[in-house]
Amino acid sequence: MRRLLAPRIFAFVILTLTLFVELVSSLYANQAGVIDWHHQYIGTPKVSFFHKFVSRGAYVLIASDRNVLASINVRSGNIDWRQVFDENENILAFKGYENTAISVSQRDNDYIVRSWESHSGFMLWENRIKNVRIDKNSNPIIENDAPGVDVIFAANNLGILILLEGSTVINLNVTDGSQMWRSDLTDSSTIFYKLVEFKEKAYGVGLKKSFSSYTIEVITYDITNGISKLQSLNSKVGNIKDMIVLGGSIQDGFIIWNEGGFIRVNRLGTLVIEQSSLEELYENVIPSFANANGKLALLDLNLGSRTEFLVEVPTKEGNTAAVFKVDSESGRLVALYDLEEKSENSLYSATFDKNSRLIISRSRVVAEDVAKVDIIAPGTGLVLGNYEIPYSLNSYGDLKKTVLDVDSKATGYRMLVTSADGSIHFWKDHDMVWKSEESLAHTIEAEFLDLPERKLWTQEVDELAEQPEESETISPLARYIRRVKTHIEQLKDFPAYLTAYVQRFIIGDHEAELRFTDKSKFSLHRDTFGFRKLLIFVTRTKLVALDTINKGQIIWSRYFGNDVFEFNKIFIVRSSTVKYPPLVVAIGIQRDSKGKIVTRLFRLNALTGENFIPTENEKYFPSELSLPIITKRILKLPVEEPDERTHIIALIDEELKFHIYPNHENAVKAFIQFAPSFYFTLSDDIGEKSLKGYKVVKNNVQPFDITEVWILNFPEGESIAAIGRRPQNEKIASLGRVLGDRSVLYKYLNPHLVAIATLSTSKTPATLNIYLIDIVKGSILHHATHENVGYLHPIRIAQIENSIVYHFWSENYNEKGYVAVVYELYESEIKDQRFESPVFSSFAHERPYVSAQAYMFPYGINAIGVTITKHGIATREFLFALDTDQVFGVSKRFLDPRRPQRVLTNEDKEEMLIPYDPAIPDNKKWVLSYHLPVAGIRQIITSPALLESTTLVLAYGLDLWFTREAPSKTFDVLSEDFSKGTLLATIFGLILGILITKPMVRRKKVNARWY
Amino acid sequence: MMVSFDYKSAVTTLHELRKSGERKSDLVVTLGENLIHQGYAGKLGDEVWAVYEQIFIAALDLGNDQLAIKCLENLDKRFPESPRVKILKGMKLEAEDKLDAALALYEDILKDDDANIAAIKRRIAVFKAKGQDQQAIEALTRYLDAFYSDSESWLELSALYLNFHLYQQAGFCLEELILLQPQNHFYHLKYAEILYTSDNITMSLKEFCRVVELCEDNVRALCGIKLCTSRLLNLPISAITSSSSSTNSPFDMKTISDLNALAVERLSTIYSKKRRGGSSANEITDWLNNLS
Repeated sequence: MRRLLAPRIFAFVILTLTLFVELVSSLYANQAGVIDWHHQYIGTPKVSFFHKFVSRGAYVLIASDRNVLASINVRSGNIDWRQVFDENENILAFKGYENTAISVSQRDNDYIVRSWESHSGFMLWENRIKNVRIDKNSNPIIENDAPGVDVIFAANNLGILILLEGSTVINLNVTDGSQMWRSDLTDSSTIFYKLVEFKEKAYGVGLKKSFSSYTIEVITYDITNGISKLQSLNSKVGNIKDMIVLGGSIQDGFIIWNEGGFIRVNRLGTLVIEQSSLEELYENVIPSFANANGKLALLDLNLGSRTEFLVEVPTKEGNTAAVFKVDSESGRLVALYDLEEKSENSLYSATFDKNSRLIISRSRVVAEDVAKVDIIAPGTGLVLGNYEIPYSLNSYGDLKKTVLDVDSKATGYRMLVTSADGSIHFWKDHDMVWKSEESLAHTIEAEFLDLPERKLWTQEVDELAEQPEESETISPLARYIRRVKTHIEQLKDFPAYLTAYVQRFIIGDHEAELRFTDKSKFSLHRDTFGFRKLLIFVTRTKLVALDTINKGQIIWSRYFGNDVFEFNKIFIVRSSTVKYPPLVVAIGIQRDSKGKIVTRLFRLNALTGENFIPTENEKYFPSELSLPIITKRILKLPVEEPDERTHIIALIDEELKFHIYPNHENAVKAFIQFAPSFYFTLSDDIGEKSLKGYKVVKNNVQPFDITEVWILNFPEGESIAAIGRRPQNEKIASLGRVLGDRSVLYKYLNPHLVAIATLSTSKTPATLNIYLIDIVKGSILHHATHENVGYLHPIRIAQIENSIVYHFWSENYNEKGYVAVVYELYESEIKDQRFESPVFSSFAHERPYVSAQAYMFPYGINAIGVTITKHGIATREFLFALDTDQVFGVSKRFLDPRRPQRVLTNEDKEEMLIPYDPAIPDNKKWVLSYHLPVAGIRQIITSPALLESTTLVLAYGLDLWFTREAPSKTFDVLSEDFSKGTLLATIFGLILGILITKPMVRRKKVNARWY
Repeated sequence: MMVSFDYKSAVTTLHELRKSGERKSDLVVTLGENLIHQGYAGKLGDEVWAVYEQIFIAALDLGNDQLAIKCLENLDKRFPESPRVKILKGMKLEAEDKLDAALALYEDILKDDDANIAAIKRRIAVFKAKGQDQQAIEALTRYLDAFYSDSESWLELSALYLNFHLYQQAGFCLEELILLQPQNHFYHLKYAEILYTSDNITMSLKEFCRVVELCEDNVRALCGIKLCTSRLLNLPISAITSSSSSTNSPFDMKTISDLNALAVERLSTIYSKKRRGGSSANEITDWLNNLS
């Protein structure tokens, strides 16, 4: 018996090993970054400043609206360090001090103060502050973005003073973050905005609601013990923007506000108010203010203890501004410099050089593609420089914020610029040194766009672009000559092409060819294997197209901020064809002049980002369109209109009217034909408590009416937690699954199947329900319940072909942990059996046989993606975005409900099943993103390449990460190890050998005959 | 003289002649002269050496010494010390009637390589030319001992034996030849004639019949059959029976007379067809009638 067992075990080991060998797909260190690319983003800066500390050099510290703290190298634009906070932990303040930086963030009702080592990003300490005033009765007049949080560093190391929620002031120890004192303000009608500290006293400046305006309130603290005293100033302030607080630390602090016709100044700690007349200002002191046409605004330049500030006034033809200063001796206002009137919107920022000289920058966009920066030293009245920087208004929108830095002598400047689309630019003198497309950190949706073939592209440029009338007038000879000319034109690319070809042939690098074309001529075309596609991203107010190769270089970007408040959808309505360019439709919302929300649609040429103007039917196809509706749901229908072969888009508005776009006659006709078989669901968003099925009523009046076909109310307390739909571009290679004994289990492939996960949170731990619903008639085809589910962890569900995968946190006593469940749906449990009717219909009473298996999963996840290959033959791989900022690929063979829970039989081996194991192994080789921290992934999308083996994978969220994945290995290309070089060398060697030996042999042969 | 010279066809002609072994020396010399004098020799590549040899031998045949020397010089320059060229030199000596010098040359070659067929054969040829048939026979038999499949040499040997009326030995040579090439009717015919000469009539008749079987209407064989059958028919009965019993002859008298009649009939048909002149046909008929 023993002797029999040994070979069996051996055979089993061999089998398992071979299975693993096949499944392991990892890459070598030198392959990292060759086919994949990773863009790290931080989001749009909320707070940004240059931080210099001793010999470490300067870097920019940024706190962003994506809750990221980062330090950016000013020379390269690279991120030195980055700390990504949780999605629901907002950063409210960020301030640097010597070699530390303090961040204040809010999570739920708690404030968290953290101290970071500014050059390394290591956290030094953390202090969580609870029970800050929760009843937020902020006055509606007070702007939302007014700082309710302020951080100052008290002189002489007396601690960090932090104002929270406009009401609580705490003093923390710099070295360990321990609280020295805390003062909560009980009077809820006052909100504090600003802290100033000097002469061992701290002052909080706030506004108290009085009859029709606000009164300035000042609270004075003794820094050492926190004893406070409240004072009111005799003042009337209309708005928080009319007041600024300057000075502090080494100087006295001042409050400056605009009241009536005067600018008033109060030295903190006193009740004395100095005032200057605005009229006097307008007429005498600042000449350019004479044209003032509106209210003046006070601009804090954030200069720390300095008391300079800016007053900006709109004029009839633009705006003007002047630099003022509060004289710390007298406490009076002194006008320093008139910045003069300019017609463009200007942004100002200031800094001071080594000699404490104030330097001000004025930046504005002067033309479509030029921005201008003036550097001024107001103290001496010198203009230090005028710089022009290339800047695309069309791509980035207006400037939003600038942060200036100058070198010691102020001979040059550098500036961090945030533009309206959210991206960051770094300017130095006349150049843009680097930029970062931070708008991509706010990606709403992304789509893969196939590129046209190269051949078609040249033909298109050559001939097909011409008008029909035009082509009639051209004689065949002229056409021939033109064609020959084109070819000659192309001939000059030939040597470069040839070298690229040879290079490609020898080293097997198919991207060499593409690199060449990018350098020589900008043309977008598909490569041999279809690895090159465009990635079209829609962010809040911007569309960006990236190349999948060339490290994700931006092909075009377009800013829509003036037309669109926020985008919500993008569709590729027409893929690349011979005659027409590919088209995308982006849909967003905008408020019209009356403040009503309208839906805006844009049709763009996906290759250039320009508005698509069709050559004919212009009146039917406006490339920009406003619809006076608020859309509830936008769908891309699987039907094309006949004129231009674009997909029809359906918009369902709040009043449940069904609009189609485009809506000309032929499109309507095509839609009416399609409508009877079209069913869709509404109220299928996360958090909804019921699901409703609709169809379009057959009437020929636009907009169409829809009617509710069915409604599915989930049991009390349940709400939708995740939805899994089948991807539109999936390909199915086989209708059945072939088993070990050559029999077949037929797959249940219902195009209307939707998998819905609901959570019932009425009791904790929660209950997870999985429903498989046919959306045509609203029937539940399968229902499963998991008890003891942790509702704080995200539920994710994905559907592909006939399988469904979902992932949750299980709270069961003995098996607490993440669980992944896989379903496979078959027409019957019995082999070789199909449904009786030859045509699949949702109305037939047929239910799938569901086979399921659950596994412990080693990680929490944020998204599930599935590889999609050209024909669906390669083994599928489920891609999980882990909460450890990685992408983890698990082969379908591991997430397979047919994995046997017994010793493998011969049939199981034939079917190549892997024995069931309760846990999905934490195999590091399955981490596709190797060591890269791909932060904040919200979605993983895939698209097939022309090679069956390969899928293009994009993970986006905060970062972008793109790779090519071959779930069954690249069985259809020669591996990179295959050395064509050696092969060629051998062939050449042989040829050479023959050339040398042939005459020798011939001579020998002749001699043999004669000797 | 020749107006135009077709290089390509000349080369093919020479090649074909070399392959078939035909001895059209005058044609070879004409073509060869043109080839060499018009400078085509360089174009021939490796074939040129074989062509030189061919032209050389043909030139010797025609006594065109100038051409022969030119060819030999070229060959000697390219293949110094080559035994094959030495043999050609020997042939040149033979052509100049310096037989002893040639013989010495061949023997010299054989000293180095006693299996040099060409040298052996040339040596035999020199013996024959000198009229030393005895030595020739001796050399040939020794040669055939080693190279028994050389049919020409067997034929040559049989001819030498016939010179000395050694019919049995000559017959043996032909038997070997028939073993080597059983389909060749000339060997059968020659063998039949030798048998007839050595008075082995029944065997001879059989061989003649074989010749007719291999080559229809072979006149010489038909004549042979006529002669044999006439001889057999004219013999006394006893002689025939004894002869038939002793030689185990398959013939009886009936068959013999039928063969006789058939041979006469075939011969007369052949000659009447040919009609080369009435007289010859008549002579044949007369001759046939006389025999019987």
